[in-house]
Amino acid sequence: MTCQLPPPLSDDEISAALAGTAEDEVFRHIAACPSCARRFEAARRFEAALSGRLFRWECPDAQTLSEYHLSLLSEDDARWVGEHVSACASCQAELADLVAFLERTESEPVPQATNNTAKVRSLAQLLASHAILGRVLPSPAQSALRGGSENPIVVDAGDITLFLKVEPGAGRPALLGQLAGSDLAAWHGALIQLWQDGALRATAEVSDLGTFRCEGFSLQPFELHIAAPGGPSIVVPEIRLDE
Amino acid sequence: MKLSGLSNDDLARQCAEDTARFHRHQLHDTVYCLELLRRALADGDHEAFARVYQIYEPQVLRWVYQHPRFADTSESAEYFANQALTSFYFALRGEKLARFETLPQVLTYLKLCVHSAIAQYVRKEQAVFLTELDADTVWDDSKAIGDDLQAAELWKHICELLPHDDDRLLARCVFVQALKPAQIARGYPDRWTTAREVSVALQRIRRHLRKDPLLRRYAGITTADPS
Ligand SMILES: [Zn+2]
Ligand SMILES: [Zn+2]
Repeated sequence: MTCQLPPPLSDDEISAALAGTAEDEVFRHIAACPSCARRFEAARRFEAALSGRLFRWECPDAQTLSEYHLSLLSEDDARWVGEHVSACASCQAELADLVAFLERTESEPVPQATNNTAKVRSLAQLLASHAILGRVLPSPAQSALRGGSENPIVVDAGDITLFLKVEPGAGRPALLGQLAGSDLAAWHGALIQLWQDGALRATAEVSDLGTFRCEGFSLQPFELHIAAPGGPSIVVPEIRLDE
Repeated sequence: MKLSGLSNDDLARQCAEDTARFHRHQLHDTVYCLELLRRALADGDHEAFARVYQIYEPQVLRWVYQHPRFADTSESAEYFANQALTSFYFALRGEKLARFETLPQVLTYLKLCVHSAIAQYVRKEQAVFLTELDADTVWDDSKAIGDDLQAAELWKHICELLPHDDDRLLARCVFVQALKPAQIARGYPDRWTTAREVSVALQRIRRHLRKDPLLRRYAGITTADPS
């Protein structure tokens, strides 16, 4: 493909267009010339790939940076974080936010945020874009109570399959869970949250065998959130026991 | 009655009352809340942790609303509250609670978790904005360690391509810190006097980097794509 409006744009003109500092003539050229538009797109992709991978790559994560502020890090960690912060404007700005935030006292009125105050109490809605969505598979056998020992609830959550059984107990039901999948180790020690009516009812921890047991909820539809210590999480929207 | 003899429900009731008294600036006790937290985190008693969550969630929500960056996010306060309470659990379970002696210390740590949840989210949004890529491509929490290595290797390679200190510093300012030429000139007046000077140097650096086969491959630019 050759330039439709020779001479072709120089590399520096493409760079200037990316930075938004090019002359109008350069932008008109990109709009009218498929060959130079393609070079511009390749340069944009190049820039995006580098920035996407490198942006703040050396920065300690936000939790570590905050612990540094409260002097909760080990001596070694505190040393490297301290050296990093002294040379990193982004971390300095984040620490300034933390200092201002910690100094705010309880008596100050709570500011009303504008766009994101709508009360969301469905866990699945809350975590939708941040968690793996678990899907309850249709049950093969029809019985009165799903989740009984004959008829476990099976949830498909990407690489993980979750089996749930409910023991009705004497007024104190228990939810027994088993995770299965190839990368189970990542889910050891994960925190299970069982939500009903938009509130947390019970929690549990996933054992090294991938099992958990939850008590303290009622035999009503519930939502589950499984948060692994390393970050990934699974959310299972409404799980019904009576279908 | 000794604390150990109290049920989780009794402790939770006392702790909720003490928390309400604290918010009304009345005299309050902290032993019940501390014992509930100790059972929840040090003993791994999940019934106690569910109570802790229920008692402190309203407070955590208030903190989210007070955070200076919350209004810049497009998430609900409930989302950040859940994130904060979850990382609070992971950070202090087991022996780690013992680092704190008093209830205010533990609650300051919980407040810190609110900040961390929002700050980490803001970083991610900045990275998405910088690359105009979708969030999943830029940031996959489950691969955090692999990402770090890859970033380190990528950075090492760039340093090999840019032997001069000034060039490395500029590349760091642009790709790692996302600074604009004017900010760089202001930050390093001894090296560059104007933003224009920075821009010219950056054009040369970009020209050089864009020619590198490994970086081109990394960016998904085929040899058919002109530079
Ligand atoms: Zn052209
Ligand atoms: Zn930093």
